[in-house]
Amino acid sequence: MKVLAVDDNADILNLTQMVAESLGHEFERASGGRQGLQNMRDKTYDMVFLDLSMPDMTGLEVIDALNKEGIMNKQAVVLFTASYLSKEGMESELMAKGLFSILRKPVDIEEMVGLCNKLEAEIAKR
Amino acid sequence: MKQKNVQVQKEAEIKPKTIPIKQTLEPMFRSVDLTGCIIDCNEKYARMLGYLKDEVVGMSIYDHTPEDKHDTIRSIFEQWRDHTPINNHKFPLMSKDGKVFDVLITVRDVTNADGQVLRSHTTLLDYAEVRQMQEQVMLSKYESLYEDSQDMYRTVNINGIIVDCNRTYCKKMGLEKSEIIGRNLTDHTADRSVSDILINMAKWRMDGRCIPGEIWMKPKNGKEFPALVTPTNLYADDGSLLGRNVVIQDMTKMQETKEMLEERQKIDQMKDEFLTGITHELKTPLTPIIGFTQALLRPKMMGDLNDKQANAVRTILSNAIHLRRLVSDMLDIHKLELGKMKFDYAETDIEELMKKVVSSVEHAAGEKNIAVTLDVKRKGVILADHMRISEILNNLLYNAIDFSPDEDGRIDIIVEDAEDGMVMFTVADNGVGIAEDKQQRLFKKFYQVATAQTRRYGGTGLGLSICKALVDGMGGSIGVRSKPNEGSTFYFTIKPGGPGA
Repeated sequence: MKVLAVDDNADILNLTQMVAESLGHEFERASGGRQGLQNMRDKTYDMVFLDLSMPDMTGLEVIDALNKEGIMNKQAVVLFTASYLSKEGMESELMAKGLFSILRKPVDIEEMVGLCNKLEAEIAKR
Repeated sequence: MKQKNVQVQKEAEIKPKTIPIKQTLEPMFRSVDLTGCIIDCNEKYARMLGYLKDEVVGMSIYDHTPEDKHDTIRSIFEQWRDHTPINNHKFPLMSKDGKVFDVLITVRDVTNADGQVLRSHTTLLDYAEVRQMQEQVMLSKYESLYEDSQDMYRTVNINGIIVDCNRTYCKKMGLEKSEIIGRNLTDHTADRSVSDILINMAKWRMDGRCIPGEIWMKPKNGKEFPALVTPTNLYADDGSLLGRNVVIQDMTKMQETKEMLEERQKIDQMKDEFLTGITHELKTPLTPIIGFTQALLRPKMMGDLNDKQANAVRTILSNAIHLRRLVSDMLDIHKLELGKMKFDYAETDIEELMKKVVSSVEHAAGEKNIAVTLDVKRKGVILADHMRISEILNNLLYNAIDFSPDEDGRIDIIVEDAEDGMVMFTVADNGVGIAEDKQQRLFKKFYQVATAQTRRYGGTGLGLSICKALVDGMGGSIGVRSKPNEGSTFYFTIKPGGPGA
């Protein structure tokens, strides 16, 4: 799979990279919302780990832009949130925007591994 | 001698304080038969009419009524015989020497067992006494409303000259009454309010309308204070506007309270923002800490560690996970206190949820060689807040792990149907257990069984109180069964269709 991680925290990007690569996936990174959105417009990814809280453009703004441009379904988007009771809305409201899953920080890598494997299995079935 | 004094004092303490009471409006009474003949009366009735009681009995009611009112008394009499009650009817009586005075007459009938009218029971109040009483009360009312009021009162004429004021006004202004009477009210008004009050007075002089307002008062000591002013009009006998009575309420305390409340709201808001922010900030670095330590321990991810390295990394991980719990407890209790806890109901597969929960504690359990079993008897999809259920289960499971013995620890997790269509989650351990008298207190905030244990089993002491609040919020209940040294079983129920179901 091709995996993109969008986060302003380099340590979390490194962690995601390590998980993805150890599972044999291709990995790319974007250090902010704008860059991440541009990457998704220009290229095709299977999976995108998207941080909710970023200074230049929030994860939610990225998702709204993807939906507006009709390219939300091009990839499976997993949203990282620091608190599931975020002011941006409840989890079920966020899921309704077409997310593949939501992960609450601090993230368990078992959950990341689990989501990668789940998506891989879904792609294999197609 | 001394002893006697003590005794007297004691009696005085016990005796309730009494005040003198004035008896007023003693009624006159007469009883009349069907022919209008008076068959009984009281002393006062006879006295008021200038007779002896014995003389009155046998007289007709017409003898006590002025001649020009005989028709009226006849109609009252007929009315009574028709069983119509007569209430407070104003009517004149005539005394032996021809003096006429008004009474308020109230007639009830006295009947036999068959309902036949036998005689009347008539009470009469001297109208002059009632008027006198009203006047007395008026004066006393004025005294208690105006002079004794805890609010300030002042009376001003049309130009704002103070013609009267009450004790409280004198006290608050720090002036004698003699220093106040004759002054203009602007002398007692703070500069910032003078124009307000002059405009208010000018408007009032035009249309007589009394508009309450807030002004600042200026007492002798110069310490100005806010006050609520409520005027009412005073009229001369010819109906012209004479002046106004003004109630002035000192708003200092209200103002202070208002300011205090505003300040507190601001602080609460700051606290809320700070706590939400700080927990966010604390969670962010925890992600790489927990993630990389997990990665180090995961086979084939970053290469194998030797035993010593693996042990060290495990210690880091369990402490990081502990820290994660503390941070999330803090945020939860904060939201609970603010009443901001919200639930997010969505379709949730029980088995999937339980497997995820178990896998998240597997590492911590494995570290203590605790065997964890999962038995999902109630399968299928329910409408529930899976995050909150995971949170409760995590709390119960980490508690079970913490309090499990170092050898042969065992935790059994069961999900099954309970009464009334509820779903019950049970977490049973074979750990230290909890004495019965301490079980109920477990769910109270900051409570841990013993302080010695607190040191060994760290924590905020908030976990179970949060669990209880969450379970309550989802319409379920939580409880524990336990015996010391045998283990504890914690269980909670939830409504599978959400709290509204």
